[in-house]
This record gives sequence, C-alpha cells and structure tokens, in this order.
Amino acid sequence: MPAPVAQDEWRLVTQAQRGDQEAFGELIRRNQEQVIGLVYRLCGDMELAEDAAQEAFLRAWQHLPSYRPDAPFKNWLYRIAANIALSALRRERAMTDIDDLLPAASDEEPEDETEASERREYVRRAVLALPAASRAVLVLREYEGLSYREIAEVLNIPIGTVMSRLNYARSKLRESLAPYLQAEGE
Amino acid sequence: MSTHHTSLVSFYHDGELHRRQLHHFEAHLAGCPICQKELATLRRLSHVLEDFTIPVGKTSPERFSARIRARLPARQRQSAWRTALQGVWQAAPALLFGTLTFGQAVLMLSGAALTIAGLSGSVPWPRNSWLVRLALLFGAAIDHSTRSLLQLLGTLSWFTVLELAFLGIIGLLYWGWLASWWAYHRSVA
Repeated sequence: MPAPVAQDEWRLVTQAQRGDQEAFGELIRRNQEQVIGLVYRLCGDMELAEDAAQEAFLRAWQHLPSYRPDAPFKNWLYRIAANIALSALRRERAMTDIDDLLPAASDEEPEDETEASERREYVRRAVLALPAASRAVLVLREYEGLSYREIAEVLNIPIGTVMSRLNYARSKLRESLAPYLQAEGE
Repeated sequence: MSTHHTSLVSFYHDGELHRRQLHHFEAHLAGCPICQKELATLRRLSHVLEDFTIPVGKTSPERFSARIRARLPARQRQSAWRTALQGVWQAAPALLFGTLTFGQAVLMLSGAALTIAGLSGSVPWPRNSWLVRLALLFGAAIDHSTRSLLQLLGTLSWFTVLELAFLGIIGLLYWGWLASWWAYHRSVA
C-alpha cells in the first residue's frame, strides 16, 4: 500500500471503491469537518459551504474508482471541493455582495466579547477580501497546513504560482490586518 | 532586503526548507535582526489569522453524512467487457510501444529480405508518379517549395511510404490516447 494513505483509510477507500456505502459514510464522517471548513473559508457562507461540501462528496463517490493513493485521500477531496467552491464563488459573485454574507454585530455582548467578535469579523473580512485564487492558496497553507507541493496538486497550478499567490495574499493581509499585527507585537 | 532572503523567511516559516538550506538559513537568522523581524511578523500574522473560525453548521455531522448517503447513486458493477476495455486503455502506451517495436523489426527484416531477393524496397515508384504529375499539373499554382516536396515524396520508395504511414498511425494513436487521458483526468478533477 502506498505511503501517503494510512492503512485504515486505504481499507475504507478500497471498500468504498467496490461500492460499500457504509465505508464511504465513514470516510465522510472523518473528513466532513475539514472539507466544510475549507469551503467555508473560501466562500464565507456556511450554507453555501455545506451545499458545496455535499456536492464534493457526491462527486468523490462518482469518481472514487479512479482515485489512486499517490496523494492523501483528504487532498483528493480538497481538490474536488476547492474546484466546486471556486466555481460556486464565480457564480455567486455576480449575484451576492460579500458584505451581504457578513452577520450584523450584536450590541448586547459584553465588552470583551464584543472586542473579540469584532476582531474575528475583521480577520474574516480581510481574508474574504482577497482575490479567490490567492485566498485558496492562503487557506490551504494557513488553515489546512498543506505543503507548497500539495497545494500545487490540489489547485492544479505550478509550485511557483503557489509561492507568488501566497506572498501576495500575505502582503495584502499585512496591510489590512496591520492594527492587529501591531497590537500582537507589543 | 535581497541580502536578507525574504523569500527564505517564508519558506522557513512554512517548513519548506530542508537539510543544508535549513542549517544555512538558521545560521543566518541567528545573526540577522531583519530576518528575525520578518519571521516574527509572519508568525503574528498566522496567529491573527486563527481568528477566522468556522461557525457551527446548520446541519449536524450525523445529518450531513446521512443526507449525502441518501443521495448516493448505487454504483453499478462494471461489466467484464468494460473492465477489459479499461485495461486496454490503461495499457495503451505499452501496447503502442510494443507495436512500434514489432512493426519496425518486421519492416527492417522484410526490407533486408527484399534486398537479398533483388526486389529491393528502395526501388522508387515509377518516374512521373501521380505525385510528380500532380506537382507538374499544379506547377503554376503552387509555390516552389511545395512543388519540390511533392516531387520528393513522389520519388520515395513504396517501402519508405509504408514505414512513414506506420509511424504516422502509431503517433496519431499515441496522441489520441494522450488527449483522452488528459480529458479524463480533467473531468475527474
């Protein structure tokens, strides 16, 4: 069995490849949180993230016979989910303003809670304000911990493009999150 | 800043430096306040980004999984001929290479045999073959280089034409396979 896929996971994958829905259900259970998280951070809308994640798992089931364990199963799912999310985002962008996705701040929260909530909202806005292509690279690196090579495989782009998009995203975030970065440094 | 390896700071922060590069950079970092500052900023940025948390979803994990499973189409058992076809498709490059090697060997041996028998494959087609006549017919309409090419083709032996056709067909099949492989992997992704 090839190294990138854990023994236990590979057993589930081969069972699911033979049509075992129970095994695929276990694969969904193990990966759903990460797939939803990835899509949510790409599109900023939980409802859209859940729909896209469902779509990703359905598509994964259809294409499972062609999966080869030369990359982790999770990365293969990420690749499908990222494609669906970025396509959905292109469609949604024409209809939805990103500000419409942001929840209204509550006035009733305690002061500390309000400050923490404001900060979370600020960071969320800053990440979602990045161009989708750079955001995808940043999310896969910062939140999913993928290496440059893995990101290149997931997004089907050259490794040099991964580096340049990551640098761009970080430089933009250093500008937009400057107040919080300075506060952290003090 | 180029002397301070800005990009290496990012690689170091992302765990992309290995062995010698890592040792060199750590040695540099220990004495370089600019790179230290850059690294500290990247670390702060990663820490601040942790605030982009994921809210609780509307669907519970159990319900999410159940909803997908309810929509899973039953996977049809693949028929024997389809499995065989898939096997042939996957083995196509090796099969084509084998065919090419075999074909070349056959052509080489038969060429040698014809030469020994005095029926050399290098006997050109009759002078003024149809290609040459075509070139002469359209001589006024086509440019000099095309006419030369047609005349050259017309003087090739039938054996050479057979070899070229064989190579052409193998090449075409290989590129066709490559295109279908590319399209298939695009559709999977």
